[in-house]
Amino acid sequence: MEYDLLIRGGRVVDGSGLPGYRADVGVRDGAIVEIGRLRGSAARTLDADGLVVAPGFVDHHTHLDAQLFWDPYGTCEPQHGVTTVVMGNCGLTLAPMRDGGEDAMVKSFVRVEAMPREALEAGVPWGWHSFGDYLDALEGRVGINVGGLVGHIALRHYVLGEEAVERSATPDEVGRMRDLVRAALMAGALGLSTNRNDRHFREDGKPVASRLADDAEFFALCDVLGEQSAGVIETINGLDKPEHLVWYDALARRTGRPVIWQNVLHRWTQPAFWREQLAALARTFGDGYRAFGLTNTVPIVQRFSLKNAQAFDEFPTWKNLMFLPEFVRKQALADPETRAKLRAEMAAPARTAFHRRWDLVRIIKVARPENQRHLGQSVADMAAARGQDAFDAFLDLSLEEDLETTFWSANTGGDPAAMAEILRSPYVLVGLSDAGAHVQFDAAFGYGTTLLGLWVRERGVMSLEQAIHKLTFQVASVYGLEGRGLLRPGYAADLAIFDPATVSAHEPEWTVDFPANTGRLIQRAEGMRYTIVNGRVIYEDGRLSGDLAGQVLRGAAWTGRGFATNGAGRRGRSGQDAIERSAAGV
Amino acid sequence: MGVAYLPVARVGELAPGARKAVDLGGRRVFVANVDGEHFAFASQCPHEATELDDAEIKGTRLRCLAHSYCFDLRTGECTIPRGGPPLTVLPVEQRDEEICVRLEW
Repeated sequence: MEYDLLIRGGRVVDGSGLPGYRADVGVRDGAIVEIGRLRGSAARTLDADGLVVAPGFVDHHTHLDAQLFWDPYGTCEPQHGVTTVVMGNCGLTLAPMRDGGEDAMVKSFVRVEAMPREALEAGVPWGWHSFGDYLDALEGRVGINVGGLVGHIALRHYVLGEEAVERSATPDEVGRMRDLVRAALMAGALGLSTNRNDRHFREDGKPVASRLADDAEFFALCDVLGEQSAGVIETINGLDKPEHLVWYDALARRTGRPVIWQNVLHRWTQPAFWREQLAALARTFGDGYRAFGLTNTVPIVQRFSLKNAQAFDEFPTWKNLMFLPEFVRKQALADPETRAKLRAEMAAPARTAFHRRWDLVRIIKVARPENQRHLGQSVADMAAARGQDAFDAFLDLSLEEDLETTFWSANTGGDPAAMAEILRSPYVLVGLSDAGAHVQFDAAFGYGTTLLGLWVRERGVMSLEQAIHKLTFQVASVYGLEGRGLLRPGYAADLAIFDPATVSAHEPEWTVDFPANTGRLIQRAEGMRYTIVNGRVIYEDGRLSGDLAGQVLRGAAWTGRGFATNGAGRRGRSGQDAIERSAAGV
Repeated sequence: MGVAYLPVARVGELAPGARKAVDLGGRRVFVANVDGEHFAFASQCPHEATELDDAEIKGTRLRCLAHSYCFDLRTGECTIPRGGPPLTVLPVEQRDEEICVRLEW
């Protein structure tokens, strides 16, 4: 056989951003060997007529560090065309790990990333020390490719123990952490992540360890990446402030490494700040340094009816009404004097989380047949159709339907025009699935399928080729994933094959499939026909194959297994182990 | 416009340190006796909607165990982190032998 796998007749969108074209793709030994009109025989042929053949997507903002041990596909990643994930974001990693230090990291994961403690205790097969050992523990047991950042929180716990959440580090301790960063890079880490979010605490109420670090400590660790010319720096700083933009810029200039920071999003409560963020990115890139903003394609939404709305709790009279028995609430909502009071509260100049824009509140479910015409309309449009003021129309529609009408409102990512500009920026990475985290509150595996369905097909904010580029080669390039993210002979045969007319993400749904019988939200996809990892079909028309085709991807500084000192300052595994023993003070 | 007093507990029903959940208008609300003073608050943390069944209460400070967000039970203000979303709290009054939530509109 000439090919192990032949994909016939698809529209090849190769990840470069160049226009797509109709061609066959031949795969052998896990790699793409030929693209064109192919006539050779194949062990298996897939008919891709009418489908797009793209590089598999790279989900670079995940917290699958633990989940991959019990769920080797990191579900629902393959369902959305993801073939490679990057874990270890926001300072949180499971390595390096000193003896007896496991619970300190569990405390951080449980609270910051809202993972069930029972699942972590039952599902993680501890036993590694170094970051390299941890990556080795995943070798051969993953269904998708995985790479990892080494986390500042784990580094601090390794060197300072429990004092990591109490104090700053001494110069000697910073030096030992620097050694650990170097060892992790040589073992294949894709970079370093930290967490300076003042809302992030451990389970016991103490701040996560990286929050105790000053700039001198963190910059000293990042300098190692500059010295090694390898790796990205990923950060989360909490509520966006202008001074953060200066800090990201300084970090990029000092190290020469790509900095990735969270988040560039349009927020109705800060409707112009995203422009300031994009301008700051342009200045940094204009001077030849790299600081990428991270954005998401999925707005953060609330769905509510006047049976259960919490969206209005910040308005005193509204709040009180929502705790009254329904029959009293309905009387009050119909009363002109009460309406005047409610209207006045919403018109007050105080800053509120609810944006108070009726053109941004959509009707997503109605109870009465005659109101079907309003489905999908904004409240403002519905009011115009009824010849009413928006506020009165909102209340009247709800009252007509016995408060059953369901509304949708987004504060973040809600302005399509602003989000289109953000998504199109070459300085912005698309991602933020947070896969593996917040599992009982949200599931956003579908950021890529949402980009293709909502932003490309429905809103036309960019070409399919541009979108695929953002999901694949742009990310692979920034993270140094050599040989991934493009469809070219010699590149890994990581592929997403989908129907561009239907590709989209479903609403999250609840399931119980985590260790210790714990539950979580999952998210299915529409239109994804095949997901192929290293030339092997792992997902086909809604079903996972069970094939563990994934590889552990190592970064540019990886010295490779079994190599001794190479004379250029990079050491092999035995050297790394010695560094880590030294850093731990053993 | 009106005022409603919704009974949520009998006087003496909740010992100091005790709390219970009640339904008000279809929403779950906790009533807690903190050193003899009663407080009523929505059952979910405003940060990530964690149910506050096991939330720690010390004095008038409530700490959600999910992410350690802290709130002042008197005002609902988020005290850690400062500026975080407020907890929904409801005014409580004793009327004869009943502890009532007072709702005015």
